[in-house]
Amino acid sequence: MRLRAALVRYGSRLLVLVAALGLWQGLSAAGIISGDEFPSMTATARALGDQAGSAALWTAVGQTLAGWGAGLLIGGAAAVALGTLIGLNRFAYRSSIGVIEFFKTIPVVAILPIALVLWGVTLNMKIALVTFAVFWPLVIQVCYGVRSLDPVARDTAAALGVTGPRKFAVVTLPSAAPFIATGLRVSVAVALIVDIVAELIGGGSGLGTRILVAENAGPSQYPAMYAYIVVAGILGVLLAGVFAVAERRLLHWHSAQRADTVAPEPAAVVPVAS
Amino acid sequence: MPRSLSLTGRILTRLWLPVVLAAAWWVSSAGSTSLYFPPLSKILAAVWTQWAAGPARAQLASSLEHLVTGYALACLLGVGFGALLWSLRHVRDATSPYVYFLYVLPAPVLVPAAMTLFGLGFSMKVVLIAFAAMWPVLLNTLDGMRGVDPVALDTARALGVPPARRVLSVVLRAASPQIAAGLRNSLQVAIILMVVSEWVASTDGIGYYIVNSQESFDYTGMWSGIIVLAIIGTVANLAFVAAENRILHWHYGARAVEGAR
Amino acid sequence: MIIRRPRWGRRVAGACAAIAIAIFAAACGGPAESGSGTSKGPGGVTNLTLGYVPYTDDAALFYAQDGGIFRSHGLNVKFVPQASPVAVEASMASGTEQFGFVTTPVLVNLNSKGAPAKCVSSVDGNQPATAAGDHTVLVAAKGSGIKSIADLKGKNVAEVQLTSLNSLAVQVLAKRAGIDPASIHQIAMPFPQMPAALSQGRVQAAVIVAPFADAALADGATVLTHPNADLFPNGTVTCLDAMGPYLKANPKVASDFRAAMNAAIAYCHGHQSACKATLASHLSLPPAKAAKAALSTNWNPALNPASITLIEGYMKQYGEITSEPAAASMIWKP
Repeated sequence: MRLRAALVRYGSRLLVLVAALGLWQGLSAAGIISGDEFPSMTATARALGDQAGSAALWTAVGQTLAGWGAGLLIGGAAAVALGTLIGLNRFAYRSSIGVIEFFKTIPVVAILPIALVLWGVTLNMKIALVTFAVFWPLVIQVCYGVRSLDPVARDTAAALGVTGPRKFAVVTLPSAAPFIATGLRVSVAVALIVDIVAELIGGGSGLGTRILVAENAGPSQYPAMYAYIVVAGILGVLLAGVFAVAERRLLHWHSAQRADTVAPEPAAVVPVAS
Repeated sequence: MPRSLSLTGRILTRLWLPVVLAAAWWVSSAGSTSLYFPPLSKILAAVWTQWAAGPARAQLASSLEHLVTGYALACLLGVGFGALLWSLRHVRDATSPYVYFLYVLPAPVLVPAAMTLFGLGFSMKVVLIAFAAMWPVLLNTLDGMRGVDPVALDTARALGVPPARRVLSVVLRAASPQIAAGLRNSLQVAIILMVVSEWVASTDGIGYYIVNSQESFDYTGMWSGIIVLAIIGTVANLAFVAAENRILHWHYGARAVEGAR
Repeated sequence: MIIRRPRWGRRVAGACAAIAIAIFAAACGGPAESGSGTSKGPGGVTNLTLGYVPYTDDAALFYAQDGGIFRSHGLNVKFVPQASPVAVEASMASGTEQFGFVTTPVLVNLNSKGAPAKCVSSVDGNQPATAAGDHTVLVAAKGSGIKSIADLKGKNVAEVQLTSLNSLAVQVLAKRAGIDPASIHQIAMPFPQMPAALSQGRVQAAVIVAPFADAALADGATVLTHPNADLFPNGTVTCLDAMGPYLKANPKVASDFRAAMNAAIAYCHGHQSACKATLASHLSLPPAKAAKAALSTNWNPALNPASITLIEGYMKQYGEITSEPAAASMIWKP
């Protein structure tokens, strides 16, 4: 029964994919989309196949992941650390929330020229932009999580005399964990998007640069360009998938993870930056 | 519990850090001769002369027009498709990886395709904004609707409430805090796409102004554009939070979250 | 159970956390470091980083590295592709790149705003004087009804950037044809998107370079003129530049760079196919396309100050700059 359900699910997904690709090819073949403007599905698939065998694609993926990983690590660690500190203290929260919300609204694309002037077209530039994009929304999400202490748990801890660092480790942090997890999950996507956009508009090396070079080489390279775009999307889905699996493993004990409970997933306060 | 602060005290608490930071920026940049980091005094002067009282107002108006239209479209489509996918379980299962794929795809790579399909003007920008801003709303609507208390739903079904009404009154109502979070995210995505859609082949808008300033090495103008963008985002956010509190007061009252907002 | 906590202690702790946020917010405000990216490699070779915009006229530059010409002058150059000369110059300000590709209007703009960028060498020679050698064209879309420059009045014209050589050329040509340059709607768009914009009628004319011009012409667009050959024959419209302070500190590197590029350009003049072959790897072009690539050059690598002054004059006339630094100050002298 479970096997059948799984087959139906994956079968229907395959069907959707085949239908979408078929539609794409149909539009190209019928001339509704001209090869000068948008490559056909088969040409893109062929380019994808060619690239998959060449070192260039995998090098680019590695370079993109380098910026993604380092920026996510730095921004994520800083956000969890500072978010926790601020969440625990009402004065800190009220003082900083205005500044955090202000910086959160700045699109990374707008500060890219400044980043270029400071770090040039280097891995550091990408890391700085990814850190910036990941930090502000995540710090708010961590604050929110730390402050959303279930009142029953809070009162129980008070009644049992659990205070200070012990209370933090045993009560507050576990209660905040799903919020932090949601925030990190969205940050995984944000970090990848910002990294690719930094490469596309600023330059450097990675998937975004490959897309830029292919685009500048003219219509003959459009299949390669869209092949790289597809790879970027797939990379995002894979990273998010890996993260979701890790989240489920680490937070299996929390009620939000159990399918039979009523608790909704914590609201994702975090936007997608680009 | 600490004694609550008076209104003045609360305002001071929220203001001291922004004021200190702005003063620090002002002072440290005061004598700057750098092309790329002009004095804050000049930047703020540009914000006034260009944006508040000057020629860039038209750019602002144009951008906001695209933003509002695109965002409204994104909200309608996001909630609509989200509700649709929630009710059609098999379609949802079949399409979820592709929905996620479109959610993580960086929007700027779609600009060339959008320009090919929709041209250079109003429609291209609105479509790009709507397309990119739709996904947070859709995913949050779906999440929120999935978290609905099954008991409430079954009760409604048992009482003979028709399906459409069920969705509206029970499910959407219960999901509304999550949908509100999604709408708020989408607003920020919409602002980002508003800028990005004007980055290339545009003749007006804030994005165009920032790019043009950067290309003429008018970094004072560029910084003023960034500040205006942040102001727009902050004002939109505040307006949204105020509206959310008004409409969802029943929810926030019920949740005993310690002073969260 | 009442738990008493010291109020001020919590507030101080809170202030510290808030200030940590503030420090993070200000963290990117540090001044740029300079000098990174230059290093001495084995055998005394100087390692350099050069930012460039990928297009076919970079062939001589690519060959200088791939064909060992830089190396024989004691240099090893790493290329960093970027989207535009503006991005290249911004990266040079960070110190992570020492040399970069720049177009003359961008060079002039920088200098007029106080940033001392100086041309060190040509990219692949000066602008051709004849239309035959020049692959930048002003084309009119099929069916737009535009037969001459004067017909551009009130129409949409696509150019790669609004403060570029191409947009300046359109304004100058318009004035010459007797129409008001401000009546033309100039729209900035990357070259690859121009053929589609032309054929769909979104713009009625465009200033476009090879290889994208081929696609536009195949769609039925007609050539109105070759703006650069018209206005700036034998002019220096692009060059490889570096910042004044760096050049002052490294005059030998600069003269070696110039000598190497001049040698590369001379070599490419005589061995075009060898030069064009470098485009296959650097621009990811199929070898057949690389071999047929069009190069817009008159093969003369001597930088032409008079043309820079001319371009500067036009920029002042059309309000793009307010001060005009001397052309000689924008070309590096050993």
